[in-house]
Amino acid sequence: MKIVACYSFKGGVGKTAAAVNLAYRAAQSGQRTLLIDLDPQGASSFYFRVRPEAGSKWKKQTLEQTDALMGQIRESDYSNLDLIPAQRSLRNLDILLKQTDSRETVLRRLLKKISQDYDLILLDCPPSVSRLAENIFVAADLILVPVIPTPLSERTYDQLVRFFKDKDYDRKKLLPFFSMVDARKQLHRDTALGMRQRYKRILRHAIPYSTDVERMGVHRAPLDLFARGRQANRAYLALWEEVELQLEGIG
Amino acid sequence: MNYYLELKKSLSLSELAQLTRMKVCAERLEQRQLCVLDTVDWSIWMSDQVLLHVAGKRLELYDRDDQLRVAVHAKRWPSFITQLNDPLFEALNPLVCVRALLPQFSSQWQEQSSAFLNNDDKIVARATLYHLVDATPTTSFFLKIQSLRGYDQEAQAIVNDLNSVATACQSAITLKFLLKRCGLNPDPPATKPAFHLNPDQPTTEAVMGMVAELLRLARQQEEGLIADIDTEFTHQYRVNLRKARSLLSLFKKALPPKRYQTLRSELKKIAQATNRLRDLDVFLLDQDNYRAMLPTHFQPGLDDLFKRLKRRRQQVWRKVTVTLKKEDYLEHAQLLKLQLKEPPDLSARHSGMAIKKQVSRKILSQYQKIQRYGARIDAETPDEQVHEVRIEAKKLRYLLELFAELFSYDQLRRLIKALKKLQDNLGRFNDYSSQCLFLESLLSGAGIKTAERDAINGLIAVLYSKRQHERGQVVDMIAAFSGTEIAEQFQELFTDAAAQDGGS
Repeated sequence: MKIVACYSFKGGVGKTAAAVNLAYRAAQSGQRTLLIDLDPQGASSFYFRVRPEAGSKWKKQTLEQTDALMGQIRESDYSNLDLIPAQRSLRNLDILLKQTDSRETVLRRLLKKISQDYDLILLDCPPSVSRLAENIFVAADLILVPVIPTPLSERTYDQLVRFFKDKDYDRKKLLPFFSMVDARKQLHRDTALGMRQRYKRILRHAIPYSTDVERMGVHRAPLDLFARGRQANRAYLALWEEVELQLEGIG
Repeated sequence: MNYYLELKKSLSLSELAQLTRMKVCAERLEQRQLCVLDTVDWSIWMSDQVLLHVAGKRLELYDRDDQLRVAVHAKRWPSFITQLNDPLFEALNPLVCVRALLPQFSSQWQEQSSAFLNNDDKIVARATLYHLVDATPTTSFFLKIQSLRGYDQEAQAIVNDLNSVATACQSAITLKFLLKRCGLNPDPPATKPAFHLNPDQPTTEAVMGMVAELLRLARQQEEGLIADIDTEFTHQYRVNLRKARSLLSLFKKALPPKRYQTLRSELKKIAQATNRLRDLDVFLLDQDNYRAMLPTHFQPGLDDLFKRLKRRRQQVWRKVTVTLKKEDYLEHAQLLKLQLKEPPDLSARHSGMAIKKQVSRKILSQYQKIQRYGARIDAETPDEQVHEVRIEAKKLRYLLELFAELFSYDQLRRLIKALKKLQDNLGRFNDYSSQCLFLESLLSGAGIKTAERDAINGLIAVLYSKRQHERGQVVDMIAAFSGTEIAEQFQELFTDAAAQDGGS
């Protein structure tokens, strides 16, 4: 079982769209996939039309007992794809994590316990630097980081790399890819070129800026369901295949 | 979680939606036209799988959880699985082996798949509605509701809402369940004898009953043998007769000499008719192995050889069918049956001894016989003496297996396993020897071409080398089976029973 996080310090960079479409692609390719929506805004859950069970909460017990977490799993409409939907109590997750003894490894230990049921766990992460984020950095085998090729996003990514360096996290886990790319913009082209020279691990395939991605909110479904032949959908497929290759390289 | 319901009447999707106050979305409507394929003894069905020829287009194999294991395009089904490619061949081979696939049952029904949606238009449960037109006694309707993970409460609510039109089904709605409701009721013929022995039964009575049962099982194969469905009918026919003959010979002291002689010669006459047929069947079944033994340029010669043997096999089979239908044969078989039914004659020396005691003694003495015969074998001993050990080992195997119900099978299993190892070696040695002889006999055939002669000689050379290899292992195999470890196990298991009081 592999754990992949979709993470960014910065909001609005196409993180949830990537999590939703990549989770769908992974499931379609036959991998038993679990998408965990850790972002209290719950956009992934919304796209998959999944609400949490009334009264269910992330509490201390959820972090300690597999059953409590398993009880939150809900099957999506698509084969091989399950979800743990977001809920308001996620706002308190950071406090809960701070109360535990093992600090950064809680999430990894918890997820390893449900590894029998899944080949891939995808984490849709909230845009913050927190104890939760640190748990995610330890738990994930790969961390996909969407980066809009603009100076501000570049700076954010630099900060993330520095943070990893300072905290001595494994920087090889970081797998950036360009998101919301507008190839007509000189700025996007130049920034992308510059970043590719500085960061060799940036994925080859980029996600274009597309209204189809915005329309996911109307259709409440992955792109493949309503925009199959469109560029953005093809880009997610190519990106998934690249990520899959990277995952195969992890023991 | 799955819920299985039997509906009192047919329900449309809009009626389902109305009753459950949910959106119901149609997903797939399928008309299933099925033909169940299986061997005469239902080996696929008995292993909890189902092989179907669907809509005259596809072969589909389902496992015990109703999962489609393999599907292949096929307008017609093959009589034998050797005509199939992987992976269907691989999946069926352990179950079907050389048996023919027969169309055992045909039926049809309608399957409507649909989904129940909540207010977010999220699927919470999937449903399949089955409409069984061919059901017995009347048309039947079933509904399978499968909740999606995390939505069991919703599925339960759906089931509750259908209370007025449905009742809970007694068992899961599986492929097997539906086929049974359409009237399929497999009744595989018993292939293993059931003797129901009583340990204290007099030997002669027990043995006569067993021989009669084995004769019945042998004769049960005649119909399939005559119809030439597959080679297994001839094989089972012979195996049962061989066991019967072996039993008679092992317990001849429990029968008056005259009666033993009559029964022995009657059984021999019956069994002899199929000797040649089985030899040819075995050779033809092993075609692929023989082909693999020789390089490519021998293949045309092998083609000629197998063509010739197939023709000969058909001639021999026709002769056998004539024999089996002859009044003479039927009279012999009937006479044998009547003789076996005659009241036991207790005048012979061991006739009244309790069967368990007698068998225990017999097993011990048979094992000792193998030890004795085996001790004479070295690397130079003539083949005939090696074959004698093989025959005695086979008799011991029959004793252990046919009378297994009198003992603890778990304990016997270890001995049978050790014996089987020896038998496999001796069996291969014998097979290679007799195959060489069989092939040598073919060399004298009139009009035989050079290519075929070369192929035969090539096979003889390979088989001879294999035979020598097996012969090289015989001494060690016998030594292992005769050794202290196995000997002690035989003593431990059978000495007490052999010494028990009871019977005369």
